[in-house]
Amino acid sequence: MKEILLNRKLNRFGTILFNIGMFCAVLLFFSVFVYVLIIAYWVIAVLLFAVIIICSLGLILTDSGSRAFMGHALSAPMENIEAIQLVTKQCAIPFCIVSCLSFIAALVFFFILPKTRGKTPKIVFCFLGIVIAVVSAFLSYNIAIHG
Amino acid sequence: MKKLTILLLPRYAKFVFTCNATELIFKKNTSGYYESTYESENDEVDIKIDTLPSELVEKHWGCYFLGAFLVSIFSIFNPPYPKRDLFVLHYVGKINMKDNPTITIAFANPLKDGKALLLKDEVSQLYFSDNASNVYRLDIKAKKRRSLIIFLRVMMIILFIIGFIVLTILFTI
Repeated sequence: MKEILLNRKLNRFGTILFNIGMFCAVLLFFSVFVYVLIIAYWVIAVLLFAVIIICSLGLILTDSGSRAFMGHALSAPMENIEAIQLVTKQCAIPFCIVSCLSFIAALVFFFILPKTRGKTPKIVFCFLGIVIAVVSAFLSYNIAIHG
Repeated sequence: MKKLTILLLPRYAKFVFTCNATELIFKKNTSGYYESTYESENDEVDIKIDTLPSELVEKHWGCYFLGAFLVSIFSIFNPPYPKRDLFVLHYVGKINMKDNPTITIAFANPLKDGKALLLKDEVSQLYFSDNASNVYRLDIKAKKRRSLIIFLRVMMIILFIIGFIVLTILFTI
């Protein structure tokens, strides 16, 4: 019984790290495709929304330039790829590091755990996530710099 | 030597199943059921089925919650505490082992004071003794703590937004 309860706690902390890693990896992945697929624009817009919503709220309230930018953003999404390009350039490497470290830590937790529901898919996704995060960060950073 | 075979329908319930104080280990068989066997000389065996208590009523739950709260960036990436863990089952009963029976049991969807273990065929009903302990009980303490955590999560998001707006205003003035 005690062992099961301990495993449940380990599973929770492993899942938290997995979620953080996956969030960063997916953000990086779609940031590569934002230049070629319009659907990726909307996916990344939703993901970035979670990160920048607070910044936007603050800026809209205080800065007239930002207010104009947000108004523009809502009316013409295609032209805002430049804004995503800027975010990608600034954040690709930190996001990649956070993603990889989270996945590695999550893998340690999952390898400790005995066989449980969803353990194997999570381990597979961790390895995939590391590869995706590194490749996406490299590609998106280069595209952002060289255009 | 008499042999008891127990088949459990797959469910998300986390449980500990004991026969005469021996914990049974269930393995998935080819039909997709969880199967375990128990052998004994006796005609009757005492069984005990307990579901795991919620994480929110464990010892030092506050420390673990605080740790998860900080690691998950104010609970944003924290998996939810499942509602089904609020319902607990402590079943104690007997099983007749005279004819080497195979019993098929399923966990019902948790409802307050609702039946917890359902027998899936008529043969199982002959051997399995149903009694008053076969009900889900709602853990009030866990329910209160879960509500508190949900409230805290919402409050943290609101406070975070307000805090950022205030800070931004202060820096831009």
